[in-house]
Amino acid sequence: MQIVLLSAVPEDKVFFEAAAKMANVACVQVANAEQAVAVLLKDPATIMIIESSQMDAFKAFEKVMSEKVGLFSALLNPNNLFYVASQSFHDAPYLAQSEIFGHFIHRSYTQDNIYVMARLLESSGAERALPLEKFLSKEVKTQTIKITKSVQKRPIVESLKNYVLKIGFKSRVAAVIATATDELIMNAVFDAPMDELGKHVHAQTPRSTALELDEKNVVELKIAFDMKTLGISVTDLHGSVDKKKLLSQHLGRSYENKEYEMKTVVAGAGLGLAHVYRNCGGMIISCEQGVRTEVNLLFKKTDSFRDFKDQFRFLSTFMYFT
Amino acid sequence: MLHVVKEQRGDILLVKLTGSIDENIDFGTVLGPPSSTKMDLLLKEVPRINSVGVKAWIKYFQGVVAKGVQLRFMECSTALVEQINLISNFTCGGTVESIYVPFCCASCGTELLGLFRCVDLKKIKFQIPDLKCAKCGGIASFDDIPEEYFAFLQRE
Repeated sequence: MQIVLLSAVPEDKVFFEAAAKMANVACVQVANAEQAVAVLLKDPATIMIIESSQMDAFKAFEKVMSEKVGLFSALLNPNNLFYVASQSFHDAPYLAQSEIFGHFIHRSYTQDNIYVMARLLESSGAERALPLEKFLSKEVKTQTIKITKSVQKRPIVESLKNYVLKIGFKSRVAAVIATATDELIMNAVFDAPMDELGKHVHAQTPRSTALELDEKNVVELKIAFDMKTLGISVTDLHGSVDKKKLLSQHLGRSYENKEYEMKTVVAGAGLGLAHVYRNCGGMIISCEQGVRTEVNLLFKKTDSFRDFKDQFRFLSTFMYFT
Repeated sequence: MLHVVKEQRGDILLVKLTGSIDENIDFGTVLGPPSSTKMDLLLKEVPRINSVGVKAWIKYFQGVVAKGVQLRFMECSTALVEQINLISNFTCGGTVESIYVPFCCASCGTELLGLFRCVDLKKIKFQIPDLKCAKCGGIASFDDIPEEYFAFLQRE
């Protein structure tokens, strides 16, 4: 396994080479998509890091991949593709439309983020993405909570908010973390369950409904803190993420300049995940189809809300089909 | 739990909301049909709103505006300012009169809030003056990104 870097941005070379070194993987810089494809065809486990700030250049890369490899080819694993851009994810809508989307790395990284980037690269090369605590330092303290009733969400979220304040996060950041956790738990309880036909069981169930969450419907919340970063992980046992829908209808959608239109036929709002992504540092979605989905969020502890907003941002999706 | 206090002041219905807004809110029940043609909402004490709360909010206030009621949002909390920025129709055609602006002290890290009228924010072109920290006397500066926190005022 090796890493191919298709980017002429000097800081990308420094950052990704350092992350590759930490992950014990060789990193080779290439000049064009054809060279990247040549490496991939020799070794399908190759991880590709692609500069994607310009739509035309990105489309040209996709065209080469389509023609030389095939977008749905077994040789091409989206879990191994990293798109790097200077603009935010919702300002590059062509990335959310990519059939081979795997990861988005915002060029807001610093030397401090090499460790997390290395863990992402290791996750790509591994059989399954690394768990939440591996993205934090060795001094991490972890707490796990099993949610067996939907009405537990509110007191859990309020307790989490108080804990986050206690460990020194700013009050606005604490509210952001509480709301992000609220959204993830609500998704796991109401949106994840599907029937045998692949239909969402609770599409029309009011989100205030008190549900007993037994067996496959139990939701696990993990909270991890290493004094610098707080990690939140929410896991369901359904594994029902539709990546295309997730990217195009949720994470890639913005309502800043167009109206939010309510869907009255479904009980959910369709807004939660987009807000979660915009407010966290890193979001890692790992889905083993039909088995489990784990969503991990990373929040850097900062001295101000402004610094919190400036933290390294990325979106990672790992999809596994058995 | 959201707490609601309603007060009729002349031809204006003044509504103060206190608490988080989530899936348990039923605005139709707690606020009922509008009893005036003007409704002022005091929103200082709303620390959080989740996505289902946003949906309930838009559904209720769109209905209120459709009945000819004039909405004014006053003393909006930072959580609500974020929603106003993120969702272009969050105010449902109502007017945002005033918002809380966040500050952070560079010396002691204390978080402060300053209440600003939107008309004044536009006059000063979002150049927010520093405050004196109430705790240590240090300088507290605006703690957000102007282009983002005041985005809704710039798109008007």
